[in-house]
Amino acid sequence: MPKIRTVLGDKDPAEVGHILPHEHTYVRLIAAESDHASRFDREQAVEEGAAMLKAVTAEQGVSGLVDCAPYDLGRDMGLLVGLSRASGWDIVASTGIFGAWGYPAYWEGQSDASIEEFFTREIEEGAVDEGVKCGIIKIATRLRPHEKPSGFVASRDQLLSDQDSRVLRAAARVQAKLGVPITTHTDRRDWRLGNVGLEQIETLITAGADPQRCIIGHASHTSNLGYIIEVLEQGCYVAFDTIGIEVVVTDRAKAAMVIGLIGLGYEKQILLSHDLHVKEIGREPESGPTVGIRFAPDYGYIQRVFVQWLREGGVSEEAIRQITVENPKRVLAW
Amino acid sequence: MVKIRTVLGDKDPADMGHILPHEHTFFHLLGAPSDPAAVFDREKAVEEGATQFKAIGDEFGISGLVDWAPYDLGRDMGLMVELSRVSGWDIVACTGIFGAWGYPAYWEAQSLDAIEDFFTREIEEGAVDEGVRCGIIKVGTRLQPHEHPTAPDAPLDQLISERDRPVLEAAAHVQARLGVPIGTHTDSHDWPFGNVGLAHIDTLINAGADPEKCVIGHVSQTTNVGHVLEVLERGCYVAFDTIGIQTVVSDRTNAAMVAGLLGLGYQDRILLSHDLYMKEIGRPAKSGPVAEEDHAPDYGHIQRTFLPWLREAGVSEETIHQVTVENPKRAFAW
Repeated sequence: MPKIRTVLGDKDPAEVGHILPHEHTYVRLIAAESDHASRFDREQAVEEGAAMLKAVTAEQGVSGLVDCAPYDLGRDMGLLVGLSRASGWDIVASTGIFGAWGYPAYWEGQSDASIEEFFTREIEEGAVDEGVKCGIIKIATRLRPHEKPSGFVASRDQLLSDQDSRVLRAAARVQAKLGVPITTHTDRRDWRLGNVGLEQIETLITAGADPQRCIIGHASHTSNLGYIIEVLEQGCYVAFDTIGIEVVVTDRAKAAMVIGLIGLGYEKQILLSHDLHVKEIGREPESGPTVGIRFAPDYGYIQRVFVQWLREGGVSEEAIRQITVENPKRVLAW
Repeated sequence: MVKIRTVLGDKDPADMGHILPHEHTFFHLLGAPSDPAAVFDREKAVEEGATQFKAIGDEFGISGLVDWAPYDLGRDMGLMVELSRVSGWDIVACTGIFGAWGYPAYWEAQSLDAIEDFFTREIEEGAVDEGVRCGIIKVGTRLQPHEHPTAPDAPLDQLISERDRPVLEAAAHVQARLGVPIGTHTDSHDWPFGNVGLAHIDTLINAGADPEKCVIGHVSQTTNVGHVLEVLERGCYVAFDTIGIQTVVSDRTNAAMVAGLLGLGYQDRILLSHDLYMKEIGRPAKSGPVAEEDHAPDYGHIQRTFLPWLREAGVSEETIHQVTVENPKRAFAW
């Protein structure tokens, strides 16, 4: 029987409610824990986080999330377990490698086989950190500035770096063995150069992944609907998972895209989420990818604001339920 | 009165013996602690390390080292404190940012003020990790392949990247305030492009550092004696600190350079060390830093093999004592 692997154990999808498929809770960049200014009261952090989550449940019925931070984005299993217990939310933790904002040097130097074994052990035996098991593999790709082709359009083989490609393929091979879902980060800067989502899903499929167990994330960072349809045609899920972050595409434009895609019959492949976090550990950064980014006000924003626009756009309650409740449960179960 | 700040507290240099000025003990690359294969028996590691130290102490009279791994190279204060207690060796820990083999993303995004605050607190209050205080600032520079100058004899400003330069400056600012010594990593890949050691010391001096409190490291990875002389003329220490690593420059060549420089009267500015370590945490990398087998066999290699060559070249016992015992004590006292 398929299960959803949460930080408190495996659950029958039938017993799981509305899970937000791409969020964060506590995040930090590599090495933040070395900073004296990063110290925080863990109990208080869990308490405040749980209060945020419970308020959203009371108002909107949301009852879980996938935390898309693997180890190198500051995943902290102790906090996740505490938060899940205190809030009653189902939380799915990620293995994988993020790497988009600074690569974990150790894993960059390791072989494909070591990386596969790392993902496998974090899923089957649990992470070194507290022994908690992961329920999804998160992989990111991002071209470094010097890797970007000059000009506006890249050829397809320029859209993924060699390092990022090999980690995508490692994830695909682990999925082929275990069945665990894969979720990706496409970088907003890379969409300008070409269809990086298509490049990701084709790389995954070629390496043995099942598109029906793959989520191409941050499709909501392009307004090129043609690209998104090409990705959907591969049979995978596409996540409009930056609702509330309007740095590239406004939420109204995202709503228009989602309405259009549902109209064309893709309602079983669309996911909605906020990419929000409870707390970033450490000082405010001076530079880097998160500076100046505004997020949704809370984890209920999609239900409160975005879904209303879909209703106005004629999307049925059934389709809304499909994309917000059924799709996450289906893709997370393995 | 001046002191040397060890992991067990401040010491009067007069109470100290022969300290190796640039070594490592336990280290790991960023991300290694996430690997289940990186889990190891800490007590056993300390025991084995202490046994090595005691044997070297008995045979050669060596009684301490400076561990040049800041946080991002896997500095582990708990292990160092134990190792120092069990072996009786004086160990000096460093603050700083290495960054040459994978940059700590959190610090990359922080302001110069935040970085200075970090170094200052690790020196004055102690690291977050166990509250142990650091006795030197270690900074590294390394050009990424896409930053390489297109021809040798590049101007000095092309030899340090825009990411690394502010960290050198931050170290100089902290030294100007506290007096703590600075040690640098010049990268073996950068020397072919020009005098990266001179770029280091000039950057440090321009930002307020005292050359007599600066050690330019890894000059033993260039065969260009002219470059080393230019660095020495600034009044700083230069470290032939990769004795035993012969992948770039042979030990015999380094011995010839050291004998020559001693002949010219630089005996109070030269340091000798191995850049050796006891244990790299995690699996061996498929690519990356210097392989274990390419290092000196143990911390006694300089005494056993290298110094006899200096003696053959006519270097006096007094000068050898100066270089191996007195110089480290003077360079690291503040």
